[in-house]
Amino acid sequence: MTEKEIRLLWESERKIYEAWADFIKTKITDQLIIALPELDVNYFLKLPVQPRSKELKSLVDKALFRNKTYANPYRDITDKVGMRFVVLLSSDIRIIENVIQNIDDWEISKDRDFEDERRARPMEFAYQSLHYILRSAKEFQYLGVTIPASTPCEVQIRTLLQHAHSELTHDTIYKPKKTASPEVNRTIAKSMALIEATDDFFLLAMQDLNNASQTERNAMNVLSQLYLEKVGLKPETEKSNLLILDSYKDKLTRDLANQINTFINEKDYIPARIAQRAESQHLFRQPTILLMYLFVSLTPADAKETWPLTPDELRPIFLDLGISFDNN
Amino acid sequence: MIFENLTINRVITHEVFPRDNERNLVTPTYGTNLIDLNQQALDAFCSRIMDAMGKASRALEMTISNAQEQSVCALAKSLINYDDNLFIQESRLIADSLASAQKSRGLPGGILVVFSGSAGHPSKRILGVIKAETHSGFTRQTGENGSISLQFLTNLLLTPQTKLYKIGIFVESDPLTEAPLPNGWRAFIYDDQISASNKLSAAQYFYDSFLGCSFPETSAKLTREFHNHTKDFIKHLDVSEESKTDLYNALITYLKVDQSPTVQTSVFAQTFIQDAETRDAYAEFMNTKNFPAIAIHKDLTDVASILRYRKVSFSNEIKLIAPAEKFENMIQMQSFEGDPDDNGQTPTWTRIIIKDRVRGQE
Repeated sequence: MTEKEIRLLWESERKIYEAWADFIKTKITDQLIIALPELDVNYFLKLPVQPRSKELKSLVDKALFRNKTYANPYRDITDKVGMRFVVLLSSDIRIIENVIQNIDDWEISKDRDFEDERRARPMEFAYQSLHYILRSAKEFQYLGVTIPASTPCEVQIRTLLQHAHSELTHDTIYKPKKTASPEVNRTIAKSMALIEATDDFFLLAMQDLNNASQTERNAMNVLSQLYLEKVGLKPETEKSNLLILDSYKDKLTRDLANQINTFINEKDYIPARIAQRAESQHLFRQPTILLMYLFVSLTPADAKETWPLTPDELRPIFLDLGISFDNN
Repeated sequence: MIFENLTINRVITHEVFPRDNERNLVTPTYGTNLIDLNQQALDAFCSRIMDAMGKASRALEMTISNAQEQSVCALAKSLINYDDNLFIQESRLIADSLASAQKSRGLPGGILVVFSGSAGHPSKRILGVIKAETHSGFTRQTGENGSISLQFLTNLLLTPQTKLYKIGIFVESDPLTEAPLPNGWRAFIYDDQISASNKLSAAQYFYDSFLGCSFPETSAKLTREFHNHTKDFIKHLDVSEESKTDLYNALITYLKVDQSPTVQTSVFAQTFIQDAETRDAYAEFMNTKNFPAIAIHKDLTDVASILRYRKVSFSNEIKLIAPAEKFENMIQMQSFEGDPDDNGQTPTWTRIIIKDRVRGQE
C-alpha cells in the first residue's frame, strides 16, 4: 500500500468513522445515565469524552513506518478513530464495560484488558488500560452518513491514575520500542505498581465509606423515590441531604418508607406545601424535607434541637404543621 | 384543634385609638382595601399566628359566651361568607367593637388585623383578629459609600415580640349544624397577659368585652387531669429516684407557687425537663391522654387538697408525709445500695434527711 492510497481512502472515509464514533459516544453516555440514576454522569466521567480521528500523518506513520506487519495496513489499523472514558476507580471501569457489552449495535472484541494482563504477567507493572474495538453490527444511517457494517472504533477505559501514568509515558516509552533507559523503565514500572496499590486502597476506602453510610444511602433512596412520587418534582440531591441524614441517623428506622408513606397519606396537604415552597426555597427541593416533616410532627423538641442548619430554615415546617416553633 | 395547614386568603387592617381625655370613644380609622402579601410576608404573618396559636403555644381555648347579633362570633360567621367588598365593609364592625371594649384610658390603641382563611386537617374556615400594638426599632441603612447606619422606626408592628399582640381566632368547627350560635364554632385566644402573672384583669377587655369569651368551666377538671397525668408520666420515667423527686417538686411549684393563670404541657416541659427527647415523650404522653396541647386556665379547686401534702411511700406501710411547699427545702432523699440480703441481692435503700430535730413521737 502506498502513502497516496492511504491518503485517498482516509479523505473519503474519515467522515464515516467520525459519525460512527459520535454514535458510540452518545449511546454509551445515554446508557450510563440509565445505569447510574443516583449519579451525575459528568461527575462519574472524570474527563469529557472526545472522540478523535487520526491525523493523516500519524495514520501513514503507523501504517507504513512503524515496523508493524499489517497485511492490509489501512484496514488493519483499528484505532483510526477512538475515544477514552476516564473514571476514578477500577471498579467503575467494569460499569462502563458492562454497558458496552449490553448494547447490540456493535460487535465487540477486547484488545487489551489489564486484569487479564496482570494475571498473565503477575511480575510486571506496565501500561494498564482496557481497550475495546467496537465494529458496527450492520450498515446503518447516522447523521446523514451511511456507516458500513464492521466499521471499527477503539474505546479505551481507564482510571484517572492509569490515565496519568499513560500521559507521562505515552509518547516517550509506550509507542517507540527501545528508546528509554532501563533506569527510566524501572522508575515507571515502580510508579505503575504504586498506582495499582493506590487503586486497591481507594477501593477499600470507598467500600468502608459505603458500608458506614449504608443506612443514610438507603434512606436517601427511599426519600428520593417518595419525593418524586408524592411531590411530583424531581428531587435534588445536594450535600445538605447528607448533613441532615447524618444528624438524624439514630432516628432512621428500617420501616422509613412505610412510616413516611402513612404520614403523608394522613396529612395529604403536605406535598402541595412542599411543592409551593420548592419554587423559592432550596431545602424544599431536597428529599430529606419529607423526613423533617415527619420528625417535626413526631418529636418537635428533639427535631429542633438536633437541626444542623439555621432555625429559620426549619420554621416553615413547624408553621405548616401548626406547631409553635418558639415553645418547643 | 391544631392550626396545621393554615391558609390565609383575606387580610384587612383598621386602626383603633385610646379613649380621649374625657374617655370618649375615638372612631377607628378604617382600611379600605384588602392587603396583598407576598409569599415571604405571608409566611412571616403565619409564623406570628403559629407562635401564638400553634401546638404547644400559650393560646387557650375559650368558651364563647356572647354570640348575639353584633358579637364578634356572629360577625365571624357572616364575614367568612361575604365577598371581598362586604368583607372590607363589615369588618369595620369588629374595629368598632374593639374600640368600645377599650373603656379604660390606659389601654393603648393599635392596628386591628382581621383575616379569614382556613386551618386544620380536614380544613375548617376561620376568622381571626389580631390587635397589634406598635413599637419602635431600627432598620439598617447602607450609605452611598457602603457604610452602614441605623434608621429609627416608630411604627413597627407584628414583630416576633409576642407581648405586643393579641390574637383571637374563631373556627367554624361544624358548618352543618343548625343549632344557634355559638354552636358549631370554637374560639381560641392568645394574649400574653392571660398567661402572665397578675395581669388577668388587664386582659379581660380583650377576651371578654371584645371577643365575648370566657374561661371554660372545665378548667378545674383539666387542671386536675394535668396534675394526674404529669404525675403518672414522672412515675413511669426511667430516671433515678432523685430526678423524680425533683420533678414531683417541680410539679407542685408549677401549680402552687407559679402565679401564672394558665397551665400547659409545653411550658412545664420547657421549664423543668432538660432533654428534648423527654420533652417530646411527655408531649406525646399528654397527647395520648387527650390533654390539650395549648394552654388551659389554671383552676386549682379540684387539686387543692391533693397539692397540700407530698407523700412518699415505702414497703410495710412506711410513709413520709410533708406539706408540699416545705418538701423541697426541708427534706433530702438519696438512694444508695444497702446490705446484701440472704440471697446475695443488693437492695436499694433510702437515706432521708429532715432539716429539723424530732418535735414529738407517739
